[in-house]
Amino acid sequence: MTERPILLVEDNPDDVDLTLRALKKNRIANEVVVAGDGEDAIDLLFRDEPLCPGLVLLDVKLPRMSGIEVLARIRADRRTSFLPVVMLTSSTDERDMVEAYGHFVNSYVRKPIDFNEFIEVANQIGMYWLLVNRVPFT
Amino acid sequence: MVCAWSAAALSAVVLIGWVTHWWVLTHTLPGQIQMKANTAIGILAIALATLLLQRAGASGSKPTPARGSNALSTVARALASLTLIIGIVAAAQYALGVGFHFDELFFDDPIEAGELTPAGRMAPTTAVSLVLLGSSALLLALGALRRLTVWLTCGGGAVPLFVLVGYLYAVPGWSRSGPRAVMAANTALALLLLTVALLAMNAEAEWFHRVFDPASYAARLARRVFGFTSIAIICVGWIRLVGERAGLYSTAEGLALASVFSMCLGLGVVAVFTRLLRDEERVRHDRERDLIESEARWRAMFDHAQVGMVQTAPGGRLFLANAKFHELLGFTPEELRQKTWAEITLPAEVAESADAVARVLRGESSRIELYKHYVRKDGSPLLAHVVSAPVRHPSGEVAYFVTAIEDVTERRRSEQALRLSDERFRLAARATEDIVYDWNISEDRIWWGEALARLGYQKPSHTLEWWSSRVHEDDRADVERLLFEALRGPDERWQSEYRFQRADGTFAVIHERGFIVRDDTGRAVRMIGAMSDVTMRREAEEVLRDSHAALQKMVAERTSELRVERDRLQVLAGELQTANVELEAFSYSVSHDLRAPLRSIDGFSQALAEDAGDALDDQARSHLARVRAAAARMGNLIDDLLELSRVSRAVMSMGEADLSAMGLSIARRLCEETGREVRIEIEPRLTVRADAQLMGIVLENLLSNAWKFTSRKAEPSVGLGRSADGSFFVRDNGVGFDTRHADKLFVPFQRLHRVSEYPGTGIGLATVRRIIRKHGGDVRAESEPGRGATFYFTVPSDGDSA
Repeated sequence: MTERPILLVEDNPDDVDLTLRALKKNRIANEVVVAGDGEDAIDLLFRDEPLCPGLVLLDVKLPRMSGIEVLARIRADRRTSFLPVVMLTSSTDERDMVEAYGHFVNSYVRKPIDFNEFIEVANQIGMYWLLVNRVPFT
Repeated sequence: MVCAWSAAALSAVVLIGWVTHWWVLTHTLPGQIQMKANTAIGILAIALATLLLQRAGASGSKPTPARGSNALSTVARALASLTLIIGIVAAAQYALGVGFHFDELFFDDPIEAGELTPAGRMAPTTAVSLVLLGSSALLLALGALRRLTVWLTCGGGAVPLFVLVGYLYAVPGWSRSGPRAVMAANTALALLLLTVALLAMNAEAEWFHRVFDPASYAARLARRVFGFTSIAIICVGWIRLVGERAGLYSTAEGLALASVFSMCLGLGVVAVFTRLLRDEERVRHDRERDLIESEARWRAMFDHAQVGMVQTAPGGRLFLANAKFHELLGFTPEELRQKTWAEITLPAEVAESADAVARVLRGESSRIELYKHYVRKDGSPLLAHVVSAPVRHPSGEVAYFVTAIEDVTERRRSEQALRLSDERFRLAARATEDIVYDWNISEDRIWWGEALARLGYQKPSHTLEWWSSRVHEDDRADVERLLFEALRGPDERWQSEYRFQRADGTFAVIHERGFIVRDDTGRAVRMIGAMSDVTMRREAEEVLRDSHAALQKMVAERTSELRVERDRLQVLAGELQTANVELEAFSYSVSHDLRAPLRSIDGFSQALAEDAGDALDDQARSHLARVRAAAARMGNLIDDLLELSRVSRAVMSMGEADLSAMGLSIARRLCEETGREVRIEIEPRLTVRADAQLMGIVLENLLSNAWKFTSRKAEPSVGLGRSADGSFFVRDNGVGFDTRHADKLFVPFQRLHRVSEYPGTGIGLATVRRIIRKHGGDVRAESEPGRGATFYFTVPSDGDSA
């Protein structure tokens, strides 16, 4: 398992807590860096000493800069173009999904209301993207 | 005749001289010898006899004189005999040398000195001449020995001729006192005249008649030559005589000279004669040539004339016809020569033609012109225009007729056709409502069709002036100007529209069209046309124009109303668009923002239960479970609402939807999800033209409902099929419902069962109805409580045979 941190981009503190709780329940020990909005996320990723996460969990609806725009910036930069990004969102809107896949998102996951289900979803995401999936070193 | 009268007059004058003793009358020139009284009587008698014979015609060619002329002949004979006796007596006296005193029987002769003849006695030459001429006249009167009379007459004439020439040469001693008894000059002249008269009388003296034939050129020539040579010979003789007398040459020399002169004269005469004859020959030759040419011309004209020509004898025989004539009648020349004109004329018309011929023969008319029917060889009649003129002999008698005939069958036919077409024109003019006219421009006479009575004119005048005076005065100048321009110009047609006064004073609108007929020089001679009364049409057009304008105004008003309406609708559409956008925004935030709190509620309830599990009693844990169930139901509600909204906004993509396959797959999934055993009956091949995805939602809702409401049945059964009227149905044997509430089923959030019994949001059937209605169909439900429910839906579309 990679020791790289997980970047969670989420403006809702409830969702942040519940996500962290779900990750912890699944014993995913990677550091989780939380960005409250899109600009913070971009700042973290492209600052002088950039954060190099192993996975980005990205909400769609964010203040200041939307998740789709953040995704576009990640894919546009050579350094982050292969970074695994999973959209983790409430929206099942068709257009959001189309846009996300249009910008080469790695996975699109709807957050279930049932917390037990959410734990299961978090487990599968962590297991797959941090453990099973392989990414070229950049 | 003239000679006889002259002789008679001469002798009569001399006798008067003897009777009155006015001696001037008895001799030619004073001092010359007198004509004796006896001589004068003799000459007078012969002259009278000649005139009488001439009268009686006894000297003519007829051998037996007519009876009426016998008396005249007798008198003539008597007169001739008298002369003969006078002559014989005088001659006998000379011959016997005695005097019977016969000479002074009638008149005293005062003997002048030196006179040789006995008193009153004529000269011996006179006596001889009188005897010859007298016997000649007597024989002529008797009509016997004619040939002899010619010789006798000539002999009688030679004597005085000799005497006259002698006088010309002034023979010495030929005077009263001369040594010889000589004939007086006037006697010689009278006797010569008598000779000519007698010769003219005598038919036997052909040579004489030939010489004096006035029509003969040869005779004229001969007379001239005779006259010229006679005078010339006399002149030569006279010159010779004068020369000899003057002693210029001897008699023999004079004779030689005269002979040479005579020969030269003869030569000159021959030369002149030859020249004249040659000229004459040339003239005649030219004439012959002209005649031949003229004959050829006439012949060509005759032969090639495009009219039939024929020459007919006065008796009626057709002796020469041209090719056209043969062609017209069909006879060969041989056949035609056997016929008279009467035989080739229609029998009924022979009398008329014969009458015309007779009039010409009688000289009452100079030519024949008529129409008649000939009969062709094949028996068919030929109508011809015939012109015939006689060719007459110099005597005025008709030699033959030259007749020209022209086939007028065709002309008659075209005349008839013209009459017929004219008739048609009049009939057509009567049939039409238009006022037909025919304007003879050169005579300015207009023929009007009967339709003019429509304008109230029963007896219109026929002049242009009448017409133009009835054209409305505001239109008149223009119409007339255009009309005369059209007549001058090259066009054949003219048309105009103007107001025309009716008989009652009102005006009709007339549309006139005319056709201009021109002669060879392009001058308009005739115009035929029609005046159409278009008053009604123009009025109708005006009404139409008015109503058209009204209609246009109405349309304009309505259009502006509609424009207002459209603007309003556009505003509404804009509002609707805005509403839609807002709705979308709304459902977008619903999907995001309404779910987030539910997640928190559920998540933190769970966290509380886990973290503070020991401190919570059973009731508290139950409360937490209800909180979590409520959150879940809220989540379902939101999902269903979003689906309803999405269905409403969805753009349909039509295609073949296999309801049987869809239903089967849904039922299988429901079986697996619930683990229940349900009897499923799905009719195969239920296909419909529709949006497959939306139809999937329909079946999903209806089948899961059926599943849900049969959950408490011992033998649950669900079916999908198609009824006889073409509508599809989903049937179950579940709890059913009261049909009275059937309408409420399809309204969102309306439920007929408690959520605790049969969970649900109450939105599914609303979504179903929204989809079915989007397809143009309808949905209804039938049920009885406890006996199941059936949901019918129709999808009318091209592929569906509902």
